[in-house]
Amino acid sequence: MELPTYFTDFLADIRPTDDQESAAQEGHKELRERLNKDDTLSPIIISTFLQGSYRRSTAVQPDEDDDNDLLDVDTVVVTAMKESEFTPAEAIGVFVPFVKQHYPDQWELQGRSIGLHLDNVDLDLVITSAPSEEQAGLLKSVGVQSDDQLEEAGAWPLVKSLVELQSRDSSVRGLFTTRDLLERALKSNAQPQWKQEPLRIPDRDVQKWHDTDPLSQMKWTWEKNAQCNSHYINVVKALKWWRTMRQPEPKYPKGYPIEHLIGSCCPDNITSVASGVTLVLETIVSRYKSYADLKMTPYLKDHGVEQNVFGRVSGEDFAAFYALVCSAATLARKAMNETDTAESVKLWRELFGDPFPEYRGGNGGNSSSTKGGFTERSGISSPSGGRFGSGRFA
Amino acid sequence: MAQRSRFPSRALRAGRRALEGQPGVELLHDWQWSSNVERWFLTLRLTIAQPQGHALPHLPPQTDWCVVVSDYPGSAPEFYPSKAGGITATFPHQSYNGEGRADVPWRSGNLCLHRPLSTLGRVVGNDEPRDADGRLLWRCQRALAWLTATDAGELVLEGEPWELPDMRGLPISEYSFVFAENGDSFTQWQSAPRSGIAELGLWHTAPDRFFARAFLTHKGDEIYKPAWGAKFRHEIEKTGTVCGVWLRLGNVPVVPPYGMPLNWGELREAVAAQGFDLYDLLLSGNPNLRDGRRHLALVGFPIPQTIGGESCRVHWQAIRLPVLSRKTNGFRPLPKSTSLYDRTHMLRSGATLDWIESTNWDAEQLATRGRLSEPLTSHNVLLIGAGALGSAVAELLVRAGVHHLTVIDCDIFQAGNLVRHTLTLNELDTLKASALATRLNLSSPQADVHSIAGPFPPSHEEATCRLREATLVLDCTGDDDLPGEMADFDWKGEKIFASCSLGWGAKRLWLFASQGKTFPVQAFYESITPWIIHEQEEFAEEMSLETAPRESIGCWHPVFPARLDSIWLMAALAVKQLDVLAHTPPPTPQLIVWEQNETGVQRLDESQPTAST
Repeated sequence: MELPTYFTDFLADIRPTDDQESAAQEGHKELRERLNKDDTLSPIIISTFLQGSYRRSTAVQPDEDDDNDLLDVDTVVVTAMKESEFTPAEAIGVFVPFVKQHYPDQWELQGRSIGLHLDNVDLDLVITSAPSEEQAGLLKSVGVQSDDQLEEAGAWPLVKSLVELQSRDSSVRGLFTTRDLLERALKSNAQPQWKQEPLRIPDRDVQKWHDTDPLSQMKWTWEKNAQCNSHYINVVKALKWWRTMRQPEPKYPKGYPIEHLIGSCCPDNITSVASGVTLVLETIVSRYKSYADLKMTPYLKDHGVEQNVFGRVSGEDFAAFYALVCSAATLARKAMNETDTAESVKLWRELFGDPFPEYRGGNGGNSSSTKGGFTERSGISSPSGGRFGSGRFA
Repeated sequence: MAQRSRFPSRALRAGRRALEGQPGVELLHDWQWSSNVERWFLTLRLTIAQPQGHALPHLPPQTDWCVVVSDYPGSAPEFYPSKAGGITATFPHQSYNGEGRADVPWRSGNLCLHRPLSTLGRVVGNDEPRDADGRLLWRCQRALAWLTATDAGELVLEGEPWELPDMRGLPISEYSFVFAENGDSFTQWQSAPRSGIAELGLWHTAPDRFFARAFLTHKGDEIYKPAWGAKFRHEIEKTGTVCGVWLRLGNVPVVPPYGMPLNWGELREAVAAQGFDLYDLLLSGNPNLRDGRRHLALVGFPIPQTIGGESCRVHWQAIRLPVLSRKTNGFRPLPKSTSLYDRTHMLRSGATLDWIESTNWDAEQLATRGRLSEPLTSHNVLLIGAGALGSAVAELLVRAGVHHLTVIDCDIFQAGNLVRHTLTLNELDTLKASALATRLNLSSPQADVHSIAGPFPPSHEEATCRLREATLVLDCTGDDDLPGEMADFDWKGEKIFASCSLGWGAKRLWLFASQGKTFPVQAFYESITPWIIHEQEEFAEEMSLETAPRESIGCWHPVFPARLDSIWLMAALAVKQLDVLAHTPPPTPQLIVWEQNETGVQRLDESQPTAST
């Protein structure tokens, strides 16, 4: 069974909490304000924007048992630093005095970013080299710089009307403002060359500038979500949850590579999160069998840039991961095909664990049960007193 | 930063998860918040499993519903027809199903799912769960059962209580109308004409409540006068007469299947369906209605107790008429033309009816929560003594259905009495008898309580006659001389006598009962004296002049101690015994004694004190 209401509630519980989201938004906002006020840096900053799973609404809650696992938020700072004038290390180095001043004991140099480990959120400060003039104009637009997620923070229902998906509820109209702006900007004929121009971020370890295209990733995600009746991002969250919380070994692949894999294996027009999850798992099983058998890492091209998203995953890890997917696919299909509500819920809970709600009904919602299909209540009812309820009055 | 919209609680989410997989239930839209009414609601599609098509008007097999909750699971989810895809007619066991508010997507006709109806109870038990997992599901299954039963033509079954079409969804005026009809008056109405004039009165403190005083023919001959108590009738007569028109139908006028008419057009049709012409009945020759003021129209119809049962009384539903035309406004000056003008203007089809909440204040109707029975309620009771015990007994008797009572007492009500009397600060320094009679008359519309302020026996012939009309004589004086006076009085007929008194601290209640033409004072003293002596020994110390409570500091006059809770306890026991006595008057004089102790009150087997008491 697809159990859409169970999935809605499961997703509501695995999304980042209100506190985590507030911490992320405040952290990002504060960082941006500080950057814009900095005398050295503000002249060279063209734009700052959020990227990553948080922005794409594909982030799940960090592990509450692990103090070091906090919500991850990436802030991209598009600078005017020319690659001809700055090496990758130098470019990052430009920001070190700033982080030393504002984030003492909290900052850490990473390969492609500066990590800021705040109390309640992990910010990644990602610097880019100077883009072209046209692209700079795009990157300054409100839509790009907005803090809004794809899915409006705190909106209900997370799953739209199950029947009338075309009619949008007025309470979630704000959801599309950011996307509309960005879509208009991205689709604008004035910037056809944008597609050929990914952003370039410094890689200290290999001393090279590295292509990245967060905006393409965002655009792809939004379009895919629309094609999947708004279920796509929820399929991503559900499977990311499964991957990180239920199957923590092997460590890789994780994060964006998983998301990308899900995206490439998710058919269009899925009608529910349940069917999306099942189909994605089954597609991975059928498409990558030979890679797993040979312990080879497959090539998955990123959006907008020519690189393998799975570049950092070893063949061994991929094979181990593939084995997990096989078991999960079998379980998910069983849960989908099960017609008894209680049994189906049990199977989904095997896959997703505790946040997936328990079944709390009576003797089952099976249509073949007696009395014309009505469920007998075996739970606690108020004692019978006829029309007086419990039989006590004053 | 994005604005946060509201999240439904865990309970709400658990409630609608329970609907997954339920046959016939499809969730169209998950919980939504309506800021206009500050409620969560969800949209469901319910499908009847095996439609039979017996409902009139036709019920589609699939209907859409908005389920609205205020506090879940604390309060019940209500099922309203959706404005898109929901039913538009009003059925039985449903509130009036109008368009409702413009700013919500549901109509006003929510289903009555909580009643222990057998037709619903057969499918889903009548015990409504109160937990989050179960309550919404139960209501949903009840709604499906309601639809299934309606479709099968089995929603209302013979033998179930009959009820009026629901009027809560209709615009209801701030006015109200009160009448009194029962089985006896029903018989009177059988031979009456179809319409006439109604005389109405008002209560001085409630100028928006109309009372039916009399029903007359158009010529002014009396047909029926509700049996109000004398004082009550006096109150509603002294405010002047309000005029109305009454019309009598064969049945409750409904818009099929069971909706009350919303406007004049619908009422006309409903009345025509019964073979009558509404405007004929309403407007034929009553010039008093055309004085520029708004009058009432009383629509009457016979109703049964149960579905399929015989009609047993008349129910009136009042309408506040608009101001009817007086002048002719261009038409010729004939009654017919004013009537025609009314039909096309004030009473035109689309004009909304100004329904007035109408209730039956017949004694039996008001007393469904419990009353004393015959023959006690038919007695004409004389209460001698309006003190602590007397006032309590009187209150119990009159409220519970003894309407004919005369109180005689010569005392004045004082502050020291407040602690154990039914009278209030408003009655200080007034005569207990009259004040008590006024209070008792205000406790029931049928009460007919009179007072005689003076000693027993009275000196006036009129008062003496009234005393003789009594059929049950109740002494609550505790006075040593009164039994003798009762014995000396010529009662001119057989009475039931009951003399109630309390012992020290109201530890004991003595009820002496007899039946006859005279009060057997000898027997009275023979039975009571041993108890008096017993108590004098038992309470010797408390009774001594030094220690007995006094009226007030500095006053030598001792008062009889007894707390109100004890008095009410004993008064209640006395009334229960009076009920028994009315059924079975004692063949010989008897004394019944009740005694309080730490564990409660018990009736003693022995009527004489024994060594252990």
